[in-house]
Amino acid sequence: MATVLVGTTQFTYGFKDRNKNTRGTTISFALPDTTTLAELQTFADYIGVRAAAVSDATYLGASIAIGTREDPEPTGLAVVGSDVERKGSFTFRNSGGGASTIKIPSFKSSMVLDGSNAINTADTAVAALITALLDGPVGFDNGAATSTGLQYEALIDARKTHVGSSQG
Amino acid sequence: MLIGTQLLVKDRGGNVSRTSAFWEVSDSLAISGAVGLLNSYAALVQAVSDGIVISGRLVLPDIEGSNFGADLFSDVYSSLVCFCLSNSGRAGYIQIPSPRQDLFDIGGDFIGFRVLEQIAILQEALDFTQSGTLELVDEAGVSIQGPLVVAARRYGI
Repeated sequence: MATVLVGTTQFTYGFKDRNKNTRGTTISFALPDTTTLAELQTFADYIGVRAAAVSDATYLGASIAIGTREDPEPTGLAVVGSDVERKGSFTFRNSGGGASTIKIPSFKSSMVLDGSNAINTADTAVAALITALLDGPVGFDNGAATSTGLQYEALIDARKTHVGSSQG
Repeated sequence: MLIGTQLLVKDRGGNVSRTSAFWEVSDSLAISGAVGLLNSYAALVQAVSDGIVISGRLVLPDIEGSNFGADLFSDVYSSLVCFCLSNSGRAGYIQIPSPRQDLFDIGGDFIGFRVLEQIAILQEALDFTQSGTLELVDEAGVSIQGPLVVAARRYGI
């Protein structure tokens, strides 16, 4: 199981007019997978500046996303009892002193301790996930961080939670 | 550089939910390396989830533009649409909101080929070959090539 590149890198550019209406436009490129992340940003800005040159609205900036999908494409159904509303909630202390939580959808019930909602952190797969989030996956030096760049420092809590959705 | 890894997980009922994590990585990391990170995270998530990881997405930091400078007559509900040819013969297009008024003939919505050079950002994009061959694709992932911009006009969309 591995995700593979869908084949396009999408650059979405934002514009705002005098009346403060905003609009985005997306341009897709198939880029060599040797392209570095820094080059991607340079390229995105290069195109954005030129798009802005033919627009009289304000160029707000650009966002960059690369899509991937599972290969081979999963065709079967998930196991009976799977439910994306059942989350494995892992809360970490971050380098800013706050707490940050990562939620894994359809967390396996077999990894929850009987008689409680606590996650069995001694389970091999759970321990591997926690280690990767703290120290980085194999081959990567840094663990996970918050969206503002605060590094995860220690696991505070791991428990099963339910997050309702409109889809049931 | 901080990048986001997003995964979509689907359960037996077909419901889909997303899980995200952010990682500090080197600017010199290649796309292939970033996908490797996404794969590693996907494998770890799949090992503790009885749903199915169906797709992923890498998100890079936003690039800041400006917040000032909109022209008095700017209007993002008007767009310049540049039609392009794809390998399959289909017409792809690039849309640019609120095109400058001086690009158009008075009373017209089309751009002449003389002025078209001013909006040849697609050609410039292809000339930007610092990292190898770039390939412009349409929304379906089909290559766009040949005379890149074959026509351009303004629409109220």
